[in-house]
Amino acid sequence: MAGDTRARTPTAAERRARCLWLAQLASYRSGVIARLVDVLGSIEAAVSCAEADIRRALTLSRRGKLGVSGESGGEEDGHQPRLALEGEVAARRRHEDKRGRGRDAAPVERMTDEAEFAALLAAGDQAIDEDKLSASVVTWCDELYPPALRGLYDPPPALFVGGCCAPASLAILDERPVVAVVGSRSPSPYGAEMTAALARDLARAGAIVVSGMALGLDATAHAAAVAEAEGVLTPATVGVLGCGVDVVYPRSNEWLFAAVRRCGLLVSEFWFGVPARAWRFPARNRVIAGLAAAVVIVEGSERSGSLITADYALEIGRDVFAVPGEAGRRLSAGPHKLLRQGAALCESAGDVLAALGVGMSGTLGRQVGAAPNAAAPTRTGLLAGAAGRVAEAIVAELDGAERTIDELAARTGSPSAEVAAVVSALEVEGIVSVGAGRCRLRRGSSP
Amino acid sequence: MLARVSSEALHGLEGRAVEVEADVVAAAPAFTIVGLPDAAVQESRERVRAAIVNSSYEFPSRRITVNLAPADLRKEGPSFDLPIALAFLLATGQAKRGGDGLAAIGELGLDGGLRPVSGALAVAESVHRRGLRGLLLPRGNAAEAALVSGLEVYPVDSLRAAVAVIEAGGGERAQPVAAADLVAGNGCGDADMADILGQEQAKRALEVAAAGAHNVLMIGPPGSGKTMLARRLPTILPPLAVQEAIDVTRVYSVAGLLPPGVALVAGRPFRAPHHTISSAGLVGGGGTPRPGEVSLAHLGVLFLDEFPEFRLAALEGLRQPLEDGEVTISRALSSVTYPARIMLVAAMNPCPCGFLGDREQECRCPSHRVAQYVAKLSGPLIDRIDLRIDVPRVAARERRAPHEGEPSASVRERVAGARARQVRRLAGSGAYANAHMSARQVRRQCVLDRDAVSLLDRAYERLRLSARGCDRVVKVAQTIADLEGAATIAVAHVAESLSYRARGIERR
Repeated sequence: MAGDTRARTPTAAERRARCLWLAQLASYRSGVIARLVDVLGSIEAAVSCAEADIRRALTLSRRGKLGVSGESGGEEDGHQPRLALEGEVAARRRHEDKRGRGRDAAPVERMTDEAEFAALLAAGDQAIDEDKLSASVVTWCDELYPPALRGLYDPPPALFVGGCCAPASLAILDERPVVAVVGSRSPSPYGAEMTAALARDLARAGAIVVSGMALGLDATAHAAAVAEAEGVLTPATVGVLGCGVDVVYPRSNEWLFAAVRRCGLLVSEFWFGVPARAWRFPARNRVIAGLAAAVVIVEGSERSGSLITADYALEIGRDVFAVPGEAGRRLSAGPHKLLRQGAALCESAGDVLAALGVGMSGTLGRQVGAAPNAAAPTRTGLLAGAAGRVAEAIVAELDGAERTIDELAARTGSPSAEVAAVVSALEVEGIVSVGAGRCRLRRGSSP
Repeated sequence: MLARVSSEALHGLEGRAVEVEADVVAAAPAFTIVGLPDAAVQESRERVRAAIVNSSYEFPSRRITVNLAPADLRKEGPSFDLPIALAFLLATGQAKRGGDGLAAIGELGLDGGLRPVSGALAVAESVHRRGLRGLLLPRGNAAEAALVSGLEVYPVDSLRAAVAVIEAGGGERAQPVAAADLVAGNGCGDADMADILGQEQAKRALEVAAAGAHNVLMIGPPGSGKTMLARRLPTILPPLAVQEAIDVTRVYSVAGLLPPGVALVAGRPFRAPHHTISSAGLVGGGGTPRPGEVSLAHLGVLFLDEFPEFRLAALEGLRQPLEDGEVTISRALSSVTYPARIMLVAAMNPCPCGFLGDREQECRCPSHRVAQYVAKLSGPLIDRIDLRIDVPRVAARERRAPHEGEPSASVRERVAGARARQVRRLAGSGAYANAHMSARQVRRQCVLDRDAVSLLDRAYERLRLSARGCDRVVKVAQTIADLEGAATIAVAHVAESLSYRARGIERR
């Protein structure tokens, strides 16, 4: 009888086992925790209530009657607390808004997930064998559980942590400014450059860069933070995964996983070996927003997943920053929408750090990157003399605009072969970058 | 009674002597052809029979045996119709031989008229080499055969006209054609580099490519002018030498692509096969080997648009011809070699939709699709392409600009100068242009000054060039120096050479 379990306070081990069981359940069906919180009132209640209550809360049909109120536990069906019903409606709306993309998941994937879920639900929390788990699990009831995450509506019951310094270094998340940098998976060169510069400068200032380990800007942010802070600040970056912490997804990011394991943390709310599925990414975004004190969105279309992260961040009161892009661009739509809604403008790491009250000089004791400087002394012979004047003219032309070699040639009045040569030399010096035939100044390039 | 007529079979780009023997005896009526004939030759029985009857000759009810000697050489195509008919008429006494030393080729129509055949130039050369006096052939083939000086070329329109030439031992002769006149008189049509608005950098890159015979890859969105640029590359290449023009003509003649009445392909070839082409179509082959596009582009330009869409097998087949300048096709019975000294110009979009990095239109490709698309390029073939250039779309403003581009003729002069310098420097090494230098030759022959070395070293570090990528940069820098007439490679040459790397596809 359910009342038996509730009669006494569960031991610490029982509470931990319950957290792990809940984490398992939440790994295979979306919105499990949100639903428990809707029905039972809080995650704390879910951790200490009877197993049967959880089963009942989770197996109720969506349209069916709610038979359980969080407080009274084993009451009979028929009585329907108003609050819980409202909560369920709200939860469902949340599903449709934020996890809507998950509905496209292949039916087979959905069926296997559901089968796993049913099996785990039937097995109950007694089946959790903690000895088989590695030490790298932090549950809701542990001291190390990041306090920032406790503020979420549906916090993960357990965090699985990977990386060199796990999981004790989770504590550092409390001590240092944590900034999420997220954006498109197929960014423009501008977005990639902005992201790299932001992540680098944030890391240089001693902040920890959180992102989603995805392709594109996420990877750029992690890589830049690792490159800047490796060996100085550990962990330099936190990668939040939409799959098990031991799963590498996407495969082509394997190098990044290795780098982040080396000098950062990988964090996931999903059980070991859980594969990546569409619905797990919006869930992951909630953890990203939860961990960070501020969220910076660099580039993303109107339907971008980054906007989900921004929504969660707003919901729990984190600062949201948006990096402006060129007007009218698809990839600018996301950040511009946020700016219109009142997000703060982010042009450099300084904007974020100032809002968090962190000095630009940074705890790493280094200067944040200076602006690109064409007059900087260069070591190649080409940028001296007459060609040096062409170089200056080119840098002046590129200030604020991308140009092709031909456009530069027309504007500086030099033959395109000479312009091409000078641009190559500037590229070697790291002052200019070239992609798809267009040249642009590198942002925050250090001379 | 037995009669013999000389003819020729094609083997690759060469003629091989074939004697057509006809024997007519009084026996059960039959008409057989022996001597390894293929289906087209077997069918020639029906054409010959009809042509003889319709030319008002008699086709007696006798046993007729035609032998094509040597019997171990495979005979293909319809060009034996005329010699078979002539041998038959001689054997039955309906024609009298008026003189020796004449060979004949030609396809007969049922009415006794003659149709042009392929490979007439190769046949005429072979006939001349054999020491024969003259060649009878369809009028449409006369012009190309007349390139062979010292050979009497008798263009004939019908079987009756051919008999007349045989009986008289001569007749109306085709005017000898001097290839030198045609080469001088014929350019590349009216295409000219000056037609292209803007794209100065791409034009410059093509000039460098032409000067060093480097292969080129152009990457740009649809409509940026890649095809237009590639089509004008032949116009800035040095004109074909007389012998080169004859070599090109021979390939076209064998492939049956020389229009009737045209003597010579005087301009550099430009071939642009569709990306669905098979491997045999691209490099040559087939049951009876035929020259592929790579040979048809010999001494000219092979343009592969939508490069990543080509079949992998077809592209892999390009490696050997790009390296050796010829293609050898081996079959169980024989192997033939076709020339294939080409400049490869490949073009592709930067991504599947084509608009990655474009300013007006945004790319909608997911990054992994872009990666897949570009990954199709990896492999040894891409290593043989020295210049990779981005060809962005020309802005509307620039399109309206009134200034006229440089005409092909003046670019061609610079290119010819640079080529001459390379030929002198590379004399005795087997290479004739910078593109064909081996890695060792690059190290030995290319002299960089101090600033150039330091820029190259920094580029190697900062831009993360591969060792092979570095060699490419030096090779192209050498060509740029040659264009300028400089003895050593200066820093500006290396820097310009560095700009001919399409950043999107460089492998690390």
